[in-house]
Amino acid sequence: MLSDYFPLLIFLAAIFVFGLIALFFPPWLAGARTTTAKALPYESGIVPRTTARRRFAVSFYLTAMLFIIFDVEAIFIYPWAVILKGLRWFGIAEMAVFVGILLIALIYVWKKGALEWGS
Amino acid sequence: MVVAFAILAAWELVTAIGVMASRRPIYNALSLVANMLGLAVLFLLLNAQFLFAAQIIVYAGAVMVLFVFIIALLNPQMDITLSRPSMEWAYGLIFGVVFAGLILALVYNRDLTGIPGPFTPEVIDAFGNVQILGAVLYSRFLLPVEVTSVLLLVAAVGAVYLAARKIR
Repeated sequence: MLSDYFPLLIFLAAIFVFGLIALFFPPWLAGARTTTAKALPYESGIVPRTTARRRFAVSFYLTAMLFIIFDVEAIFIYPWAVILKGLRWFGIAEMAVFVGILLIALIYVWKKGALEWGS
Repeated sequence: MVVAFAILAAWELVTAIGVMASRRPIYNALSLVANMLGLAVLFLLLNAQFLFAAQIIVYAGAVMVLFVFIIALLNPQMDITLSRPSMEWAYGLIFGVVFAGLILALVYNRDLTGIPGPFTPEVIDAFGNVQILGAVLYSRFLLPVEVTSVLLLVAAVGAVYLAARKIR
């Protein structure tokens, strides 16, 4: 049973090794020189004007919190979806109640303007 | 199996220490992500594939995003260095010894076997892990599932109330 995941382990090891190579091979090969050109923002990046160490807007917290709520809702739908054929209309009704209650949450959040950035 | 568990147990211990050891909250949070990923793989070792996926999606994904945002929200200008209460190590030692004692008592208590339920590994292999979980969740535990949606509704209202500058 556990050996089923052995290819996954190889995959993870390959990712890890590639990360190490990408991190340490170029400086070893080319030398780690920092020039002014290298320190510039890449392509269309914006030149930073202030430090990044400042308070984040509360909107990030709100978005993350709402993300968790609807993420948990999605988690509940997975085991329901695989047995939906057996549950038939009873299953549809069950999930309608579940999603319906969370639809109230969505409408509330929307009406309060929590989905708008910086409100 | 034993080797995999040993590696994972070591991983869990190291990352758990990492959660406490660093004084910068963002490193604590990243250690917690590593810890939760290890916990997910522990679920996988117990053939709980759905729990594995849920652990990664909800905890390592969503909850940790919230933690990191809260750290960023509370973190003005400079990195917080936590000041520690003077008796912290003593408390940690006491609780650590008590919990280690409880776990050892559990491990060496041979009479503690538990009653096998209807969902033996054979049954789960025959019908599928997620299928059985869904069947139990949406029949016997239907009411708790529906109440969970109310709980999530309350959480949404609470989050909006806490974060809103002005309630419309």
